Amino acid sequence: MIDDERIVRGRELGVRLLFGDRVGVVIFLASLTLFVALWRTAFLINDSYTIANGLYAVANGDISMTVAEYGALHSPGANLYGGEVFSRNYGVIVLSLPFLYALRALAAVADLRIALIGGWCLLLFATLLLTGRVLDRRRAFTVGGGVLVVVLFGGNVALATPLSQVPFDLLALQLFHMTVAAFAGTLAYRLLATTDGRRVGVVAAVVVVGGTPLAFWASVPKRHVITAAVALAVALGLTYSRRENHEWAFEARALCYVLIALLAWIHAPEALVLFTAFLAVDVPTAPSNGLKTVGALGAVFLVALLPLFVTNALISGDPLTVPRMLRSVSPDADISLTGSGGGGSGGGSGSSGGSGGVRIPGFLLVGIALLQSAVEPLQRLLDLLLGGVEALIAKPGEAYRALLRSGYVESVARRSEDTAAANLSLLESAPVLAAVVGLVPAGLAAGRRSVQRRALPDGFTTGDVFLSLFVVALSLVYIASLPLHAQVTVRYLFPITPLLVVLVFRLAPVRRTLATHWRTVLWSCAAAVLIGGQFVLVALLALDVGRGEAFQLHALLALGVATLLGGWTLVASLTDRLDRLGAVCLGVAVAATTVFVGFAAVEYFPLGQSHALPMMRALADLLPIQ
Amino acid sequence: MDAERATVWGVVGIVVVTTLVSGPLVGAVDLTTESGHEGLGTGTVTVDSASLPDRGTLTAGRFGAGEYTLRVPDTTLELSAVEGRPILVYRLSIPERGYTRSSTYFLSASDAGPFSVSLADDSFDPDTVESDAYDGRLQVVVRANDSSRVVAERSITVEVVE
Repeated sequence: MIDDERIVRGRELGVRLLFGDRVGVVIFLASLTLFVALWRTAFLINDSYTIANGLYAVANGDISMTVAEYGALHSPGANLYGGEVFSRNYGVIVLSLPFLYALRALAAVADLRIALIGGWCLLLFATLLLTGRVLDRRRAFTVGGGVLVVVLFGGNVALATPLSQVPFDLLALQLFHMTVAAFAGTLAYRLLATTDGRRVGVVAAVVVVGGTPLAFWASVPKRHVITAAVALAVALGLTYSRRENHEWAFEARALCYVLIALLAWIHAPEALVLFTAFLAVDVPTAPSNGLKTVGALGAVFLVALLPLFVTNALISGDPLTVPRMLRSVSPDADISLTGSGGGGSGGGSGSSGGSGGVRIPGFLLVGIALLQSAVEPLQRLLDLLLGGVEALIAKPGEAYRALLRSGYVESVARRSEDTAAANLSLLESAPVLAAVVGLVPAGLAAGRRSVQRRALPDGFTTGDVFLSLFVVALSLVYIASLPLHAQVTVRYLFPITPLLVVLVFRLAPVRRTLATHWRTVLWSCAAAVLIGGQFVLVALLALDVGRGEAFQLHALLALGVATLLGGWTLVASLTDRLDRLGAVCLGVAVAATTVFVGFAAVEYFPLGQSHALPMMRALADLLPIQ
Repeated sequence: MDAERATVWGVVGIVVVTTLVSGPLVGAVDLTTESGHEGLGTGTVTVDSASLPDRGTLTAGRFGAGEYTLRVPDTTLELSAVEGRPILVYRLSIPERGYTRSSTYFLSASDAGPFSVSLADDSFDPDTVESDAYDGRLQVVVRANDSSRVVAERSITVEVVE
């Protein structure tokens, strides 16, 4: 009996740690159900070949890549060192291994196509069952959900065709990324539920999952969704650790360091940007920076960094040189911490220190190497940030193209292999962000009040300060290289989108509107997706649009909604008469992105009709859009 | 409560059992079917008539898309005597631009009668569109038994529409 209690208690603690509460679990499951529905089991971006081949190599016990299981070995992002080709983002590779083994085990006992359908149906069923419990409508959701799931399962199985040449490694990577991405909505919910109640939290989750291109990038093995999820988790950890008398305060703070260390294992440059923003907030606001606390945190951080050090040592022999610091096989516009030329073989190779004739003790050499390896990237980061500011001042037109209105951009067209106009700006891909622009006056007013009171604005947490800093830093790092080809929705800046959603939800007029009109937001969003989506379909067919035109039609619709939403938020700090209208604008803005992401996943990027669910493939075949 | 529990386990059971039964371990049924690739490219087909379009368009992008979209109207062929799995190719070439685009169809006996063929839209950089019109050629080609023959052909004018 005692064991039973322990299991129950363990389960409760696990749910609290990962999801917060049952609503958090529902959001997680619902997000995952959506991502799998839009999942295509094929490569979207060339860079993913590098990571899939890397996973293939690691699964076969080899850290360097020798077999091009997918595409080519010399794909973008691959690194050369000592005559061998290495992958990158080894963190996701190792963390995807459990998914790979699970898939292989599944394939041994089941037809993988049927298993994917079955898995999705069970996910959907679990979502519905738990929703029924949360809403206290168990019976209706159990029976209705059961019938729906059986029908969907039967329908999909009837339409099923075999998975041709199962790309196990890609599927494992995609499953890992979708799982991490599914936490984004849950984390947004938790960040807002703790301050504004669960309803507002749920609306925030809906906006993060439906109103940003999260669902599009979730099944693409790129770092963007992971960075976003980690940033949200760190913000939550910070907020928890600053609560007075919180029983897990120190653990929450330590968890932030662990997450950042793991992100460094996945993508060191972005982790450095995040770490810098985090330290700038964590150190000054910490309840204690005593030797014992800092020592414990440092030890936790170093232990969490061990996987990164081990990977680096296996590749280059130097634990402090991350793969991205090595020479790239093909130059791309991705950030690197070793200068844009990418010629250096990595900073901080300590061996050169001893050549001066003076014998320097070994431990000092290690210390110097550590210092060098820390200073060099920091210097480069500072250069990137200043470069971002310079680019904003010198070339505001470029920033306008990347952030506000895309259209046909010549510099993008020159390098794009496909339709150049199929790259939207940040605002066009997530019109909810218009609220940011409109809320500048509200933010300024709140900021002024808080300076007078020497305290954070109402409802603004330590975590939010970190999020704001990180948003600014990440934008500055990337803005100089934008606009760019193969971005679709400015994917480099994707992580800031969900973070900005959380920040927008903190500001007074939005909080006021959501507290009274949350229902209006959800209803107008649902109506706009279901009815507006059909109008968009009719427009696409009636106007006989080409691919680029289809994207730009979505862009113009999004900008229209964004203008309304932005306009409302400007007025909203003066009057509360238009709140209901604002709620409608917010709902429709979310819907604009949902509809775009739906069309993008089903029609614009079918990737050889490789939809994981046969019903989505059938839908893609049915709609006569080219 | 018990009925609820039974529903839950019933649904889960249906999904799990179906998945396992169709798997390689049990292998009782094969639920994933695919139209066979056997004998592709062998056989015969007669194209009775083909009214190919004589005008296509290259339209300037709307909504700020910039690039030009090439469109050729769909058309219908009249097929008969389909035997085996011959391959039918519908092809547009614009020699002046060094451009070809084609659609490929794997025929089977059920395709006899009216058969619709189409060319997917394509986009062009605005810098590369210099003339008012381009001369192209549409062809319907049947490939079977290691040989290919042109069964219908027509000149097409691709007009540039600003």
